[in-house]
Amino acid sequence: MNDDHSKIGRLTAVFFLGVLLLTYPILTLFDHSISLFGIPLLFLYLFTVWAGLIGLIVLATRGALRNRLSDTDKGR
Amino acid sequence: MLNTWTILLVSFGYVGLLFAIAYYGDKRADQGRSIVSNPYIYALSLAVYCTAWTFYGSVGRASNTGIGFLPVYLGPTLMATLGWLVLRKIIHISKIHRITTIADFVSSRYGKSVTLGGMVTIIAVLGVVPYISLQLKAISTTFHLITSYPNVLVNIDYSNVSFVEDNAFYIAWALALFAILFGTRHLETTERHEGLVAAIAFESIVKLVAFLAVGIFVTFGLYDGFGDLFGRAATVPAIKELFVLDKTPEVFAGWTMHIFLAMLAIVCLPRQFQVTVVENVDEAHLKKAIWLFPLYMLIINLFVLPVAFIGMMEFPDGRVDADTFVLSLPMVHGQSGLALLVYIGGLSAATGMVIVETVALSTMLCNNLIVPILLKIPSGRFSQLPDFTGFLLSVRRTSIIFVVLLGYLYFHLIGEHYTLVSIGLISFTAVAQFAPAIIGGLFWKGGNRNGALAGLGVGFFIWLYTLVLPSITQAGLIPQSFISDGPFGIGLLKPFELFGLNIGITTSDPIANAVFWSILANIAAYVGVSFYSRSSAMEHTQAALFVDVFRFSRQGGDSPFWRGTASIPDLRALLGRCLGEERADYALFAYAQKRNLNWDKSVKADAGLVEFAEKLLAGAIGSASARVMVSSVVKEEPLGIEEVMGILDETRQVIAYSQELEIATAELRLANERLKELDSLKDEFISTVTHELRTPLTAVRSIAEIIHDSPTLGATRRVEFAGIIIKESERLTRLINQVLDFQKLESGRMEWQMAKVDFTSVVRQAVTGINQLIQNKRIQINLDIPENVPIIDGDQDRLVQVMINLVANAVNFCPPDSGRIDISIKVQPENIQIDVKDNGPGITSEEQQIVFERFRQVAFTGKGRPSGSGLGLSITKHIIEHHGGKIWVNSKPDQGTTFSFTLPAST
Repeated sequence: MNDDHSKIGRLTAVFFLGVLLLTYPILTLFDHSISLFGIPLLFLYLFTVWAGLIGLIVLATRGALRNRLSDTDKGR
Repeated sequence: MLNTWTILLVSFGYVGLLFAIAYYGDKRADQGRSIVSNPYIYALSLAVYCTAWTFYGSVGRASNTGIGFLPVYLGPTLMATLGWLVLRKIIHISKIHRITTIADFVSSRYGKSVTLGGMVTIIAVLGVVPYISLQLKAISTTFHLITSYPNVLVNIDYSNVSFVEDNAFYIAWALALFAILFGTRHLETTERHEGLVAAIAFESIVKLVAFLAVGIFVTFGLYDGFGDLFGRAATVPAIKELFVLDKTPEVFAGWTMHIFLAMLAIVCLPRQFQVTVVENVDEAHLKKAIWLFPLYMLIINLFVLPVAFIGMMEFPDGRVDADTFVLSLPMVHGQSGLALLVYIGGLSAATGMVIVETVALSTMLCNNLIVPILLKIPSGRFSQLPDFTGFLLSVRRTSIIFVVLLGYLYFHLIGEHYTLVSIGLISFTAVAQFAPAIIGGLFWKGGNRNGALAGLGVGFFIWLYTLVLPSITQAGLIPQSFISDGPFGIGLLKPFELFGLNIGITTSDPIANAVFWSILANIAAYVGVSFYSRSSAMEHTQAALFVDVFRFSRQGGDSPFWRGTASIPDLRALLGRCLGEERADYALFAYAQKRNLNWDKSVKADAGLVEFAEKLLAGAIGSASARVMVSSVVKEEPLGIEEVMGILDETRQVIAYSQELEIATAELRLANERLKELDSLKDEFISTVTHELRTPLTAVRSIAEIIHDSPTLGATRRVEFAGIIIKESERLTRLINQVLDFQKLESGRMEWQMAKVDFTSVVRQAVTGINQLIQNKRIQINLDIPENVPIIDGDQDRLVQVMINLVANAVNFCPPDSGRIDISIKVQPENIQIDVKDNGPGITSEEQQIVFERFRQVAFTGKGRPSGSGLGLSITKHIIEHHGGKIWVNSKPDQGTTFSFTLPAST
């Protein structure tokens, strides 16, 4: 249950980070008519943030390394 | 190559393949070797979210608004991060309460309300039917487009196309058939359909592959990768301005509102509820799905912008509908194989949605609208139908056909005026109205039925006003001025700019406004009415069961509030009618085995079994209907507020009882400690007394031995030794007398010789008695005795004993040579008070409290063991109290001690 609580905590943090990065005002910082690596900045930014969020969800759901180790211990 | 018959063959071949996969999936499920029980299939089934809207419509949207197509996918990604908190709770609750639709969820949460369930059903059907029609429109449009290969300039006028010539009409029937076969194969109490899920997961792979194929073809086949593509697109002014969002508050507010809408929709869409909650095999699958599903959306959206921009460059004149770019691009470049793949991909996106949505809607229509209405028919004949199962299934099947045909009709009458995405967003806004009731109901126990009804009602009304009425305008049924000037020319009420607000990703984006006002009003009404209206006992119960689901499920999952009994044969018959005899018997058998029950011996079902039966039924016919059905056979002890209060009262009594127990235990523990203390005191007393007895005895014996062994001893020595023997014997006698006295006092066998006593003489007698002792220590003694001390009633000898005890005590404590004892008598109106004051070391306040207790001796640091048996003061206290007086001590360390007592004057 403790593991579950920390998981919810980590995921909620990812949620707020996502809201912050995907909406006003942070979004306006990248809303410029320039390109990076040939890709318009806004598009590149949004897809990168999106991929980053997915990565963070993976990390958050995996749990801390120690938890995983103790889980395997329980398995034995 | 791509003639009509080929396309028809491929289309129906594809649908046939779906049938085969679903059949295989069901067969494996029946054998107990599920192919859908893993997180990957689960995540793929969630991707039923990506419909023809995603497949064709996103490109159309991107060609209008640039990145504006994306919030629809960012919202679900954000909700996925809350998935472990929100979705898992919904899944957990639904599994425990056997909830099978979103209408049932809302109804069950708010006291199994029939009204609420019906309302959600109606809103869902009205909101989602246009969405279904969007899929059929996509199938129809792309069919007409691909059959005219390689010509992409097709203008379809649906008023000229009769449904007989429209393949979407036949596809619609095929999908209805599929939904009937695999969605209503039998009446499941869990409503899980593994074959259907398998087919949906397969469709998700097909649409992803098809879209990636066309994306890669245009980006890397026609152009030289993303850089080249965006570089060339930037040279077209109309495209370059899509690279950024307008930096205005309205646009960013609109952007946020779209993300918010999609967040709510992913929870509230009936088909998402079906795949996420109902078809979920294992809650743990959610853990992987909450990142796999966003990843799927990310990948399928990678090429939306490239396809849109290339389409705009290839067809600059706007004669080709941007919604069809995905298909038109491979067609104009002669890629017939790719075009066919894209067509199939679009078909898979559309059919997956239609199948799941109709199954979900038909369950809702049946369980939350039709059955409750039929159950309302008086005389209860309906619930006595012999083949209730068959009846329910035919209601479901009819509902499926009804929903699909309604969708088709809508597409033919109204749908052609709209782009794919705008229809979809209107549907999103409708179902988003469920969110306050659902999410509020998950975490806030205060939300009640009236609040939910008010919120839904207000939200639905604003949805109708801001989005549906204008669409009727565009179909020509209401004058155009309704939109441009507002009703009756009132500008503030213009549906697209309600109260003057105009947010949106583009300037003509009615969705953001509608979402803002409808959800705001919805939440306000839900919260406000919940605060100011009362909840029934049933609502309180359900609220607690939902909000605290993890707590209750740890306790075994049964409602602690339910009280009702029924006869087992009645329950069995009821379950048999609704689920089929075999299924009912099996369920009851499993229940009995799990709980080690033997039903041969009893015919009365307990509350647990009644609740189990109700949940079984809830899976098949919805919780509100199940409640009605079960209550027809249950001798209900109506769960009124009294019952709930009764349960609370019992709890309170238990708490009170346990508190009493605690107090009693504490008292016992105290008594026990006291006993132990007394026991150790007794031991101490015995050792003290024996020690005191032994000292004089040893003296007597040793002196007697000297006399015995020394015949030559002088006469004077002999007399001296005999004197010591006499003194020590007296001391022995005194000690023994004290112990005997104490015994008598304690047991009440003391004989008192009461007479008139002059206390002055008592004091003098006592002082004279121990004068030798006083002289030995050279202590100064002062008597302060006034004239005419009143006569008292008492035992002269005992009172002398008291004074001797106190004075001897004082002598003991006084320092030799400088010692001083003051004895005074004070005459008071009703009694006399005697003080005996010494200038010894004094005693601490703790010691003062115990000094009168028997066997207690005040220990003096550095002075060793005090002499005496420890009985003197205790005996004194007994005697004083027997005379009706009081005794106490005043002392401070190093300031001497004063023992005082009173004796009542003689009357």
